[in-house]
Amino acid sequence: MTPGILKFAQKLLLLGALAIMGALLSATIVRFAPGYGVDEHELDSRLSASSRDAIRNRLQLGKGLLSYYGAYLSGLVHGNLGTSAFLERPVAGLLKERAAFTARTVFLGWITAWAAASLLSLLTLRWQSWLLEYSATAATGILIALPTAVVALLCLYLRAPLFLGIAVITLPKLFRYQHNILAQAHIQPFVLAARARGVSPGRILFRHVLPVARPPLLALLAVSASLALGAAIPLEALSDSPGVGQLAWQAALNRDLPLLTSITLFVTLLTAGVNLFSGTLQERRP
Amino acid sequence: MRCSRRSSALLLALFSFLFSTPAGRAQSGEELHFCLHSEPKTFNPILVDDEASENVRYLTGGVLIRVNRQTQALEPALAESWQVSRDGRKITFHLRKGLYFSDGTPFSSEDVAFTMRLLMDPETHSATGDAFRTGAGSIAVQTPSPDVVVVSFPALVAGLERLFDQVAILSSKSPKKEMSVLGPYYVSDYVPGSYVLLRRNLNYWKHDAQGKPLPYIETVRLDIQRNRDIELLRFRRGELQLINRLDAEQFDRLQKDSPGVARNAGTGLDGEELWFNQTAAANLPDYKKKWFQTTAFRQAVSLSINRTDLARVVFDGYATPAYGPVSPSNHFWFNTSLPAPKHDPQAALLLLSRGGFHLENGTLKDSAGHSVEFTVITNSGNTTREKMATMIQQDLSEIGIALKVVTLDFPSLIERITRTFDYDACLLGLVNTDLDPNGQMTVWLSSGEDHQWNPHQKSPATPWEAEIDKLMQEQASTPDEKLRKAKFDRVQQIVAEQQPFIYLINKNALSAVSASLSGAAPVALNPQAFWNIETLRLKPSQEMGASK
Repeated sequence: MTPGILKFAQKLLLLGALAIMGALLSATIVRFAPGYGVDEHELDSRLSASSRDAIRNRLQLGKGLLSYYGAYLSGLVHGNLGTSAFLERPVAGLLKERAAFTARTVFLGWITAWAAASLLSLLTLRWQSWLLEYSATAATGILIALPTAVVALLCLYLRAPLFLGIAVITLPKLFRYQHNILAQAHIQPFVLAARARGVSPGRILFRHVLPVARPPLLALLAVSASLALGAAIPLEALSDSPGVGQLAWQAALNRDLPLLTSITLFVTLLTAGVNLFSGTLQERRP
Repeated sequence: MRCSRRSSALLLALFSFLFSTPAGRAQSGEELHFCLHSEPKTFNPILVDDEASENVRYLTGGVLIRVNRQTQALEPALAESWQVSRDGRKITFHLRKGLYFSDGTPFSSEDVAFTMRLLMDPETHSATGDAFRTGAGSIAVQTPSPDVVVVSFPALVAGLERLFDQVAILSSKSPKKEMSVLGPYYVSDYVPGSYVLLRRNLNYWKHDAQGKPLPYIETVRLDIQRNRDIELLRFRRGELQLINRLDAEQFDRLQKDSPGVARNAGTGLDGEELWFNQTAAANLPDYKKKWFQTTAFRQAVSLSINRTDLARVVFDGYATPAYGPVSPSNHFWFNTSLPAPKHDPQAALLLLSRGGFHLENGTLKDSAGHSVEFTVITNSGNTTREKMATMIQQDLSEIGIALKVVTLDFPSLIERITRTFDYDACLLGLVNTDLDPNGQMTVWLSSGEDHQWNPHQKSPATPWEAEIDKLMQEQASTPDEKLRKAKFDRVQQIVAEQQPFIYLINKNALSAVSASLSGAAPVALNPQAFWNIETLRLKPSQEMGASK
């Protein structure tokens, strides 16, 4: 086994351990949250004592937290993520039904944010106009101040697709980081020398600036994916979109231990996975 | 070239994944569109215990007897006729002949027997089935012929026929199991978190007066939409043709903009109430327990609350002061002799002074000198209840009582009122789904879990609770409706005197129906706006939606 593969395997193991730790930590928080283990259906006056007991027994899942950890990990090994206490359906099925919607929305939002941020950064660097610089900073400043709920409402009122909302939330932070990275690269002595020699702006960008900016940009790629995923959860919940975010919100409101544990696992795996991917790309640079 | 083709195919697949909308978005001209407010937890009618599933069951399930939501009378459905035995333990149904489930499976008495056995299986834990359970033992179902079925219960079930309104018959033979139905629609498509699509059941048994098969509308699309404001926005845009339930504020806005589409069916079944924690095990100071257990104290609090103002200010006039546990819209069971709720702070102070309370610098104090102050909990995110609590706070301050309002999310609130009993008073609306008081047995029996002010009593804590226990058991053990009514009238009277629940208001049944939908006649009973789904029509000449 080559050292490279060994290192990658180590990272994969670390990623798995991190995701499981995150999931179990979230389970602990839910377990000790007020209102855990109750169901509003207990107030249904038609129910007999035995049906109420059945509801309570179903919700006693995590009373012994350590036994729940054990059962969850054992189920995970066998590909069984348990059954949602609230929706009373297998968690794996629930995640599968909604993952495609969230993946599509997040990906489109992320791509749109990158395209818009790159365009803005390149325009401001190319023309170096204070008006353009201040306008871009002011515009992104306004966007950064917009609460997620307002963005969700705007999407609804304007009938805009949800991915645009994700792009609007991700763009300002992305632009600021990206602009700083490119600006730093732009003032390197060899870039200044190239400009003094009259090298074309396109050539400067692709031959001198981007190679220098590539490592931090790759890191930003991972960070921005996490940002986009983070934005999707409240946006989906607020706009009632059929994604994992909406599911997570419902799970939190209903103290659904198996569902929340698995959603945390899923989100942590995704976030850490993107970081691992980005890190690997950085290491493979010539 | 091959590589290029493969890349193109991959790109095409990627783009179709990214830009496709959820399946089934295409909307036909004959599609009624409205919302469910939560994910339906099941399509199995036996297991229904949430509002969304209940709505789907109403639209898809075929029942033996239907409660007409407008007249509140029983009507034959899959059963042409029925007889209840004198002892109220046996019911015989004569079924319609030649009926088929949505998938073409024939309907017979075997299906009714199968459904009843499944419903009453203790392992099923069905809320619908539990409503039939009045005594120990199991049911017996006989099928003397394919169109006759006899169901025998181990004990008398008062109001037996009405309970069958909730029992959707399952097929015992269909491979599609619960998806094979006898109601006007069947579930054609379901995208979790997004929508449920229902299609017209071509085998549905009902026809209109001209012999045309019902229902008229081809498909019903139920979007899963929790946010009521978004629902209203979509209705205004014409994306929805119906809103089954509106709150007063939304209704008022809609009434101003489009008066023709806002429908007020008058006083509904649902109410709002306040109760004090009288649980012996509650971790409250003894003096507080004593206040809450004193009838005069509860009566004084009730007298000091201005219900008319609550209805006018919080509900914009779309509510009526509540008399007691039964809404006036429940025609049979409402006790018309109950006194109208009064607002009289002076009378409240008089009652309190007789009970040893006195005013000192505007603060009410008990005989031991404790200032009268307590906390009321209610669920967060419900602006109506938060406003009600604020108004009650103001009313109580007039008699020197300091009220603090605490909002909790629903699970935390339920935990407090059912497990820890860590609260002084609670403001909540308990939903009445059943017209018959038997549906509230666990509320009124002192041993009941839903006897919220003091649940699980081993023996009644007060003589009036003992009397309620006796009356409720008596009314449940006779099939004589008049006698039952007399007994329950007395229960309502005791509750009005003792005020264990301080009933505040009954909300109006408010809904919205687009101008493009004809035949809608919203009522107080659930499902308010689409109870007559079979006879609703979409006007073909108009654009769908809330067009003015």
